Amino acid sequence: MLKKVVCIGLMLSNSLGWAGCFNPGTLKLPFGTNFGIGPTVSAAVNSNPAYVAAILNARDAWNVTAAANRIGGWSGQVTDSDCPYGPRQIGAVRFYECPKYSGDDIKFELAYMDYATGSITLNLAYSWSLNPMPWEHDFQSVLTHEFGHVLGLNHQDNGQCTETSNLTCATSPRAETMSASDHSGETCRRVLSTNDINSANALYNGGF
Amino acid sequence: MLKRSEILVTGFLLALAGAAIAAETSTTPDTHTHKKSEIGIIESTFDPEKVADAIVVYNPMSHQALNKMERFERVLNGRIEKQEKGRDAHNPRVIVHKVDTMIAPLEAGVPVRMYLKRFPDRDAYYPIAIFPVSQGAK
Repeated sequence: MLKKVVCIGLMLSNSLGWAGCFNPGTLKLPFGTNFGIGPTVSAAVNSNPAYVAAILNARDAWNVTAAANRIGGWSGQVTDSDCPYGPRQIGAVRFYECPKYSGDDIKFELAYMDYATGSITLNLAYSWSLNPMPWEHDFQSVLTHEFGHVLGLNHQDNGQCTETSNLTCATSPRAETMSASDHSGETCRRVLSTNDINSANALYNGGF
Repeated sequence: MLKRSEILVTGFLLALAGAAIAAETSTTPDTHTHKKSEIGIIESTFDPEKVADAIVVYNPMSHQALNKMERFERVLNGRIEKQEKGRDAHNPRVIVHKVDTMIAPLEAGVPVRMYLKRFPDRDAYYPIAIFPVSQGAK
């Protein structure tokens, strides 16, 4: 019964204009919100332009949607070393890489976005690459995914969303960037799928 | 024109929809505070224990910033204390930090469990996962 009610509710809410993979009431990211870079990467930022380009490409992947230009540039080096949780700065996006050696789920959590601190954390227990082998994770794809969360989007397999998230790049070039799982070695999620674009458009159409 | 009964039914359905959405949103207040399951954890789908050619306990001789994506390959400076996988087929004497990759930095004298893959064209290895010695294969 409850399921039916929820279904009817969702059908109606969709017909009223709310559709896409985000929670009702999700805040839109203000235009040009800057993101900082954690202390562990500042030297790398300076020494490897390809690394910088991957970050910017991940950000700019969302520019094909109504959420274009919401994420700005980085705001310089972050001096604290309290990884992953630096000073609380809601609204700004921070980007850390941490070994994340605590907890039982180290083998599975690859990256996450924390809305409370506005930080993206990558788990450095795994290898990240700009040109991944099948057993390495694609830095740019996962960052593109996390920037999707920064914009307020949920995973594509999260309840009300279109559930095609088990696609791999091998089976479909349109595998969703906002899938909850990363398939190591794959790079097709650097480019948004139709479902990803529709979700961002549903949230951001209409401006603020 | 809608009949009165149709208006009533539509109104009832809208009320139900509102209640359903309100119930759903009650756990996610209108701020950037979400449950852990909703904060965007992306999961890895590969198991380094299965993929690795060799698993070793590695003791670094110096601090090595493997968290930097370097443009040049670097040979790691350290000692293998124990090999847990691949003893018959693999002897990882040379371990390198690959170009354009990053992984956990190493601290001098702090052993780690290192999951290694062999380069297809030479007798050298690179880490695909680095865990504390307290975690991973024993």
